[in-house]
Amino acid sequence: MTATVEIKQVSHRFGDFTALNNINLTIEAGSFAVLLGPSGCGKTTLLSVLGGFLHPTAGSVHLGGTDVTNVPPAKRATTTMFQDYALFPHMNLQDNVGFGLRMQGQSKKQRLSKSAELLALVGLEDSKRKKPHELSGGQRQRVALARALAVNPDVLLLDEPLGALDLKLRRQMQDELKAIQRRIGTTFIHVTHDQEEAMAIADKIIVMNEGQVEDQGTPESIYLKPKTVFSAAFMGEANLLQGRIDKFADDIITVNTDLGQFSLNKKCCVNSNVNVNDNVKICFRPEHVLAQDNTMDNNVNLGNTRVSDRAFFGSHQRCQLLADDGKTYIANLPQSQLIKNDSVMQLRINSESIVVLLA
Amino acid sequence: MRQSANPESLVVTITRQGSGFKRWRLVLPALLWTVAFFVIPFLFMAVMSLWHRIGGEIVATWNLDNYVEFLTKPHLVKSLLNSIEISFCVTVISIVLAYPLAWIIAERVPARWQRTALILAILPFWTSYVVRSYAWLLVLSKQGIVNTFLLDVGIIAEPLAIASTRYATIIGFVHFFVMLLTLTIYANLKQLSPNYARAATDLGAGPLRTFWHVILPLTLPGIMVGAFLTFVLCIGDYITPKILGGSNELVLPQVIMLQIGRRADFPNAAAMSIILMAVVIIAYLLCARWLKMERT
Amino acid sequence: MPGKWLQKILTTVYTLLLYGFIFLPVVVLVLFSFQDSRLPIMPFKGATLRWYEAVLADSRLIDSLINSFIVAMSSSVVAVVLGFLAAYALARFHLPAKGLQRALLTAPLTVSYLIIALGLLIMFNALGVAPSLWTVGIGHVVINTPLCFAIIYSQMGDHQVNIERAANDLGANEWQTLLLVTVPMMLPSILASFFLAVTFSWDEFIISFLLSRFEVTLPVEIWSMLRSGLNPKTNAAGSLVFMISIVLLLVAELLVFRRIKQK
Repeated sequence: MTATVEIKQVSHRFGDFTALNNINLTIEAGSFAVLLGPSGCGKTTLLSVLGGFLHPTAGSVHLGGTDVTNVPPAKRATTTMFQDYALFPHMNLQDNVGFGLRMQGQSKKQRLSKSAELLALVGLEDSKRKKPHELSGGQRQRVALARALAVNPDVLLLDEPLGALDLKLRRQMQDELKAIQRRIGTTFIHVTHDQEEAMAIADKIIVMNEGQVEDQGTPESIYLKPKTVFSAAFMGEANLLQGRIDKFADDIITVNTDLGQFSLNKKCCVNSNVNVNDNVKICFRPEHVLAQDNTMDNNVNLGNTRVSDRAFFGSHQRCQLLADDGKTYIANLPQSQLIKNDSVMQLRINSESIVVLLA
Repeated sequence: MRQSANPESLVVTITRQGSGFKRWRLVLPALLWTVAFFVIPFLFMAVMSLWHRIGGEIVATWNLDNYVEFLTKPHLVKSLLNSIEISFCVTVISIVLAYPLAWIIAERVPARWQRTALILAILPFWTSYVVRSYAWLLVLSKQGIVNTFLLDVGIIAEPLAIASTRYATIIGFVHFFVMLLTLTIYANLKQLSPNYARAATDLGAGPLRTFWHVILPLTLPGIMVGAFLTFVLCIGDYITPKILGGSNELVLPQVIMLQIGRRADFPNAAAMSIILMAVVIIAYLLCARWLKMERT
Repeated sequence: MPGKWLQKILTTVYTLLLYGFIFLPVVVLVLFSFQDSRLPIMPFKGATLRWYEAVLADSRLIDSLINSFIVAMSSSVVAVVLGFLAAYALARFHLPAKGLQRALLTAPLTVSYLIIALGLLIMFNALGVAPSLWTVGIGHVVINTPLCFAIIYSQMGDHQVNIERAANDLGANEWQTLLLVTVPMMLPSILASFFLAVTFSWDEFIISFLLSRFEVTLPVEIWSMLRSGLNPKTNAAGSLVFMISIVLLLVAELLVFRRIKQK
């Protein structure tokens, strides 16, 4: 069971505070979508609106083409997996998982076989008579997943489900979640503030900030072609250089910056409505800084910089480069390159990978 | 931070879907019961206190004569003062006795025996309340065990008259409240992180100064709650002073019961009850004010 | 080192003295309930069970014991139901004047039983309601509802809200959520408040005394036995009540506190 989720012009206010500001979103049936943003960005509020726990101040929610804005949680084809798991403390695992089926009036036999099936799906078939307090955090998380899936929801809503787990377990559970989602094909909408988690599991990431959708797309498109400065900065490390559009000519734009003037292909502008004299941010990822021995033609040279600090990170070395404008830029350079503190080095960037964003 | 404000708001919005009555209906039975059988009876009593019993009939006189009469009759004022004195003594003695016991159980008894020690310390709590006072009478009367023992040993030549004095009342009360307060103070001490004492010791305070400057102030709010409870329960009690204190020195509840029992003088009893309640309210205000000052 | 020994001796002596003080009346009570003499005073003249026989043969006493049991159980059930529903509503819903409602519900805790009893007596007299076990039960609900409310309310945590939402999300309606999730989840504090209410009602004297007439509860019956002065039969009755209470306590310990510990 699965369904498309459409959110149309949804706004929500808590008193004077605008938690959601005119959200429009479509999430395809059977996809794994992640709502990503810092705390207070409105992602949990949006999830509550989807689950039916909150009635939005304005706008509507559609599941599989039907308006469900006024449908209460109990009757909605969504189930929520809560951040604190919210397992029923007085019931064993099979009763927890079978609760939704009990509410549907299914027979005890049906319930037991379905909950056994789901506990097997999450690898807890041997613990069906245990109580939640006998389980570890990761196991509770699995039970919560099994319980939510037992009622065959069209859409599963996951509210930071991995937040309480330690790093290693979290990475493991990400893979499991993704595998389960592939297997059953239900639409998953997952809330997190961890961009690595988002990239690890999502088919589609929706970046939110201050109650608005900043950016949406595949992990690749958001990482490589972010549409806003916030999105660029939130999805991993980004170097930002202040600039101004000098001129447009055919497919080439010329930008003036504190580190000199250079030209870029127009494709670097993700915003279509960029004009001459607009203030922009030139954005490049640390790994797009070219190594000294890289002879690629297609590059932008930002002049000489001084290496103010470097650290070895295993797969790469991370350098802080102090440029002429007095600002520090981060470069991830190959481990093979010999770099010394205080040495001088040219800051060259693969021009294909540069993104020009409206400031 | 903003996110943290959400859960409460979520609850608000869920309930908004229900009608006004839907939200009220669950709390309504308890509220109605309290109004019908607590607030309204109190109003009946307040009205009754303004009436008078004249020649076997209760007459609606609507004046404060009962109160004036109470305050101008020395033996009635004396009963109020007895009540306050006894309750105050009981509160102080009980705390002074219970605190060390609670501390010993919490700090000196091995952890796995603490529960047993505590249950033992409050076991006589479960003797019936009337029976408990009677049992003390067995201990304290002229032929009671204390006097027999002291006479046999030869410490005294004549049996001590403890029963039917305020001392017997105080002993009976203290016995009950030592148990209650040991329980409360123990709970308070266990709530404290052991790191407070460790930090104080680490900074050079000896055991006494650690106790005086750290442990005692931290448990004070809990003690004040216990003290207030003790005072309130003491001052309103009829059975213990009646059985142990006898009728030589009456306390206010005994006087109230005399009005009801012997003379059916409900107006007077009502006025005295309201005076008793006023004393409790004053005690509460004193405690509350004092607590607030301690917290700043 | 000598200081440490001194401390140990002092704490031991103090503990023994206080435990002695606490147990003295109970020991004397129980010991002289076996007294083979008409007076429960020294010297102890040998053991007999005749006072217990006398107690069990005393139909008034047995009746009052049954009355006490009925009043304690039924008034406690009512008090727990009222207290639980109020605690649930006030903890979960946004109601106007919450502070005032809480204050009203807990107010009887700070008023002496004597005053509550007198108020009820005056009101029932004015309304022509005859004193009975019913009026005693009403009084006991008045004193126990705030207790049950306060205990259950203090255990209503915000973390339980999501558990109730989860039940709702999985298709449970409001009453199903309440009965299948909230009540079982709150069972330890519900049972704890129930047993406390039973204890308080079982032991309560002044309300029972003023609001009953022909049928009385156990403390009132024992009170009338006291009029005959010191008597081993009273000792036996008191000891019996003590033992019943201890059994009740053990049941409570096994049923409630083990559960709480388990958590």
